[in-house]
Amino acid sequence: MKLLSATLTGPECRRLSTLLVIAVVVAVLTLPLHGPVTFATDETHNPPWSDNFHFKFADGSYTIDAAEPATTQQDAVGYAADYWYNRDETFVRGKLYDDAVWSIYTHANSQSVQIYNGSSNTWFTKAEVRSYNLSGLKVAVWYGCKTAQYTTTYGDDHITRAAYVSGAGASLGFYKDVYMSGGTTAGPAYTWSEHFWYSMRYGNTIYTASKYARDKFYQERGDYGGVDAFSIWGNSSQKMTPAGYK
Amino acid sequence: MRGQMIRAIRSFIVPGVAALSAVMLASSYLSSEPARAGTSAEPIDIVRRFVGDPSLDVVAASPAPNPPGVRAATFVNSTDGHIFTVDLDQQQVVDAAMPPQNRGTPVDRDRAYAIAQEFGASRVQGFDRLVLVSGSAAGTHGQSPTEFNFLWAEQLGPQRAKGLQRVAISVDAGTGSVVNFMQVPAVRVSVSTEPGISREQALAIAITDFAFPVTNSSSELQVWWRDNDRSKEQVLRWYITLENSASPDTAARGAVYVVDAHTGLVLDRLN
Repeated sequence: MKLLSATLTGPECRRLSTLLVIAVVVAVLTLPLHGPVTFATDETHNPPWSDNFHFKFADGSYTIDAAEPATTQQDAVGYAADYWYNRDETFVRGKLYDDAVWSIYTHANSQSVQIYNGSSNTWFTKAEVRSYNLSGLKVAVWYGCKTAQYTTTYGDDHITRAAYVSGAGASLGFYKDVYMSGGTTAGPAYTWSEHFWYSMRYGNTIYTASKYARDKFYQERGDYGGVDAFSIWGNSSQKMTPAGYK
Repeated sequence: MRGQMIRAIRSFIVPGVAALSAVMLASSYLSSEPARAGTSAEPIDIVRRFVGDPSLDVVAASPAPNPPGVRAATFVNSTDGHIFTVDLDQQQVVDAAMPPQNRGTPVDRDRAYAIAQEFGASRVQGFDRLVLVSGSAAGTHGQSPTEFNFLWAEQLGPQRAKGLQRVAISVDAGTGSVVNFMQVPAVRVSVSTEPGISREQALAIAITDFAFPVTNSSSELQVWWRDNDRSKEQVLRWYITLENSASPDTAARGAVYVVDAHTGLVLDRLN
């Protein structure tokens, strides 16, 4: 404003300032009308992509190995499937809107999931998920505590539902705590994953696969460990097969 | 032995004799009860007998993950969603996913429970001595229940420890069809069901190890296999869940402790 005041008179300067303020206010108030910011439209690939993410956290808890059985079963039915360990948030987010199938095994809450890249934590949020066009995504799995929990603050506006609202065919989460790692036994995340994706491979719906994984988990561990508290948003009859985008 | 004979006949004798064998086999479904432990049968026949349909169309699937120490075979029908697991040593179906039948009428919880009880009693040895430990309705986001889930278990000893034998059955609310079945078959319990460590002592052990504030906890006395491995010995364990819901730190939000109820040793920690 000092530079402007060198060439403008006092009243002109005040008028310009006022106009600038008005313009900013109008822009802010009308921002919702511009619609959500879409970071990327979904791209399709042949063969279709699927990606799965697991971690080992600084506190020693881990989901490492949970993404691997997912990848094996997805690959068996024709996806270009990969599993990733301790990748950063940019990488994880970037796969979500290019994938046909996507899963993550991590600490979480109803509004976000934890991403650990080996040195620092970040949180992948519901708002970020809502900003994407996920119309090509058949199945999203959020294996983490309370990723589909109803809360008094947000109601059913949680990260699991966010993927469905953004276009995913089906999005699966849990409304109670689930557990990541074990001490002397295979981690609960791994146990659940290997059974869920086995069922999906053989053409079951996401609903049937969730129940199959629940029962097999109990058979192995003698307790449901929260995996009976699954919640599916979208099409509960959604299948992974045949391989392809939604 | 009978299975071996049938395989030999099918392999080497003319189609007329093979057809006769098929008729003989089919007639056995009309009169016999579901296969019980101790009988020898082809796994696929065990599945067909379990559902009461000698022509059920399922095929063997690639080996599925199974609990350590369990030998099992899996059968699927990828078109209609059937999936079955047969424990080869117990000669029993140990889990099943079955699509709802098109014929059927909606059921309430009481009717669903009766259906589930009848299903379990006709297929599980010793079902009548099991105790219902939980029953719940599953639904779609506040709408009417779509399914009723029931879990039975044996209860043992003076403190009613949950024993090894478990049965879970789900009934579709829209048709009354049994859509899921799971069992841990009965085996001899070889561990004392009288705990040497009390519930309070076990809880103290867990909380001390957890080292974070605890806002809520639960505990249950159970018999299970060490390390979830059925080739290992049985243990009497306290299964303890600790919660600290208010903590933003994921490490401090909760954990499950498995505490040996005879020695107090922490057998496992889940977090």
